Amino acid sequence: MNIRKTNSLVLLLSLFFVLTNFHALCQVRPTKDIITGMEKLLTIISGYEYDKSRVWLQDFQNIMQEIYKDPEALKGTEKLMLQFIQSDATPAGKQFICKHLGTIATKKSVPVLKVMLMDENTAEMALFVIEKIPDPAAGKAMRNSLPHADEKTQVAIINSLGIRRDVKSVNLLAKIICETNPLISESALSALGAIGTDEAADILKSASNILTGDKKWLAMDAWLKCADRFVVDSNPAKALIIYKEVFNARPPAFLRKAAVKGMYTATDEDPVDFIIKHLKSDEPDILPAIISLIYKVPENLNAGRILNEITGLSETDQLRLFIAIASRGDRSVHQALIEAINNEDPEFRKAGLKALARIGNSSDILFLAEKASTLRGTERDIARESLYTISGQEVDQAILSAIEHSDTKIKTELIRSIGDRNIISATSLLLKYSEDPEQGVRVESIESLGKIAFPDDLPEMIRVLVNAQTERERKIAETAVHLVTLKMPDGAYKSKDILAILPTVNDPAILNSFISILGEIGDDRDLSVLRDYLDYEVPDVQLAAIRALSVWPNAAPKEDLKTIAETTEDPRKHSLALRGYITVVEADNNLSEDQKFNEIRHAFDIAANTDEQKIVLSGLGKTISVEALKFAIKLLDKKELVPEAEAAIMLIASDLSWANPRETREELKKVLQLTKNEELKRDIEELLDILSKR
Amino acid sequence: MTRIFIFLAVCFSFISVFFVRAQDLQRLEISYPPPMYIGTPKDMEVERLERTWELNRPVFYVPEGTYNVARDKWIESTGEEPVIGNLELINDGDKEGVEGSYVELGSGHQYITIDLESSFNIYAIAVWHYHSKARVYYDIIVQISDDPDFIVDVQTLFNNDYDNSSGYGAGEDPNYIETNEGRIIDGRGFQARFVRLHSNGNTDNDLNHYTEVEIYGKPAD
Repeated sequence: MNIRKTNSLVLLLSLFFVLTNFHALCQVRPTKDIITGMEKLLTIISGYEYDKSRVWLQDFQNIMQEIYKDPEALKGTEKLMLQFIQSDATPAGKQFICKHLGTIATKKSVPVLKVMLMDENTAEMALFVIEKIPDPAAGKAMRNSLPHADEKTQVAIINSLGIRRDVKSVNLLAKIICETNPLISESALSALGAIGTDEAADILKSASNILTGDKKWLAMDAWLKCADRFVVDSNPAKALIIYKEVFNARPPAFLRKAAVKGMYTATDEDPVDFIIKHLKSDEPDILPAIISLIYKVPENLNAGRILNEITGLSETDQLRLFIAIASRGDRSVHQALIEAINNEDPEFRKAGLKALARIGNSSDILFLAEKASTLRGTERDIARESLYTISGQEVDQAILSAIEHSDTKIKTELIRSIGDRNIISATSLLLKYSEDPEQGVRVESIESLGKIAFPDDLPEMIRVLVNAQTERERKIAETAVHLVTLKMPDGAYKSKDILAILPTVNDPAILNSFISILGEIGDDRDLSVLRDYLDYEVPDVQLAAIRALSVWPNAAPKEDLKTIAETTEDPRKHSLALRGYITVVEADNNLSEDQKFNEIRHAFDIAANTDEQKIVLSGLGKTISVEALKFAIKLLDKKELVPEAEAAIMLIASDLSWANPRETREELKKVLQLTKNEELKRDIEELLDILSKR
Repeated sequence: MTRIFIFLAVCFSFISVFFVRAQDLQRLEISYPPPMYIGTPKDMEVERLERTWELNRPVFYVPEGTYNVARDKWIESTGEEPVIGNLELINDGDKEGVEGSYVELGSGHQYITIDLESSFNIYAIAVWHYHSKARVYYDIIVQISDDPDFIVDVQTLFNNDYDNSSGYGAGEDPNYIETNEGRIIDGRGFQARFVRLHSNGNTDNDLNHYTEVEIYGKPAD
């Protein structure tokens, strides 16, 4: 019975799934339609230039998603794209398509690409695609093309063979490592290193014995790459032999450094013993590389014993050593680290400050705060970062305790750290210091309050804003209050505390701050309050209300702003309201393009001067309608607006050409008759050319 | 004789004016951070791109006593809080192109406004967006005004928004590639308290960055 019930349930669920997804299943397009869609897009892309709009990009990406899921469409698209890259499309268009052809090409593309490889004009593009085809036929085509290609293409093919790790090309590459052309021989050495097989390693070993000069070191470098490959392929013993041979051959320092790092990776020796052994060797030019290995020593090993066993290092290497040990959390080098931070070399100071974050504790707080207050630039940033990241509950307590007795500069840094360390228990302390006699202390306290305070603290934060002693402090408090309102959950009445105090505020500067915050919050319930302030007795407050409405997150204040722009005689209010009106219209998703145009057209009529008309024309350029295009063309008569009208024409036409190609074409032809701007004529002709191909 | 006398008097006046000017002015010295990359990428396809700044870099002469009046002044930006860093980084004197030196603002058209706290005669504005990579920032507009809303008496010192997408008119200045030398813009001695710098994304992404802005001026009389 239970089984029967379960089966029925599964059946029902399956039926439900099929029914609910029926719509989606129906949306799968037939292959033929996908191919036709791609054909159309390729026609458009054939005229693409780097600096032109790619309005078709989203359509292209969507169709590629469909193609990846449809094997038949994949085949058809591969063929279309191959034809495209052989056509007279623009280089920018071809480059774009090559990138995508590379992701779908199969061995069927190889014959065409092979021919293209032979031609220096198309070789780069062909290589871009063929090197990504995993089928061995691609590698074979590349190898066969190599002797016939021009020098530049040969180098590119050799590099690609290396990237593909084309094992079959090892013998071919071996033959050309002694070529007189250094570009080709050096590429071959590097490619052999990238391929990294036993055979390649043997060839490179021989090459590094036979070759002389720089080529010898290049061969050795490539040989080291083979060793790196052996490590990746879990064959460290084989790699170690190579690393040791290179190291013992006394090559230049860069190769010995690479070799010793490789030996560290491949050896089964104790990592700390390895480092001690090599630090004791008399190799001053590679000591920094050996010291840097300390950063790689596993956390569970005691790297601190290196300090006991190593003596006689130069002062700089000793500092490097201390910093490396400290970065592992070994506090035994604390004193040495402090000396490094006081060193003359800024690199040591920076590294030391950074390492102190790892081994520091509450006793380092004042030292770091002092450094943060006296240093500048990157060093100051690192000192602050270390102060903010030293771990431990006692550190927070130490900061709070130290504030009271510190001098102003250090106190300022400590207060700043409260915000960045998120010491949420310090709200009362910060409220106290927001009234400190020193401005720097007050500023940092208010900023930190914005970071750590909670919505429950808003009444106190509002009081801080009201009592702000300078304009700067009030602006910081404004930001802080807004930040705290952002911590409220969605749907909460974020402006409630502000509205409560607003009727009691008479100082215009403070009123402006609160009105600005209401604008940032953008709660439609507050619109009536802001509308009241549009008629407030102080003109500055009226302006603040217009600014607040202009940044509203939706189109609700559109009519308010429009009415002000239409009716006010005050040029400042008019200009602010007009700008806000256009911004709100542009962002209003409920308006159709024609409705948007009507609003923009109206804004143009009420614009008071050329500057305002230019702002309106910016909005016009983002309106995709035939009427907008016609209006922009009409404005070519206005001498003072010609450049802006021309810009708007091109912006509208580029976007409109998708929805209304015929009308766009007709209007653009009119512009060709009217304009004397050669650049605009060229742009229009290009667009007309694209339209004719659609 | 009288003519000769008048001629000599006129010449003398010109020479004295010239000497007074020459004595009053000094070459603007700006310290540049170390370069973060070498050369110009070949594939930077940007319309109206200036490629000869290194050859034609103008020398600025400013009155004696001119200094960076933007240092540590109040800065506001459009959009939400910065994505990376804070606005203080824009005028803290650190213009190195490394992590931690720049502020990242949101995407699309954004601007920062520097409040100099009183009016200054502005002779040059130096701006570094993000110079660790060869990038071009779009629609750069630099304006100054005594009006915080930039409505009246606005001077536009630089504008390469050639399609008027930001609404401040179609600019004719060239696009340029960011380097460690930033861009120095002639302030022409205009008087202003507020300086506004616009941008609209860059060749790598839609975001906006500022490493440092220096404003060279003297308190207005």
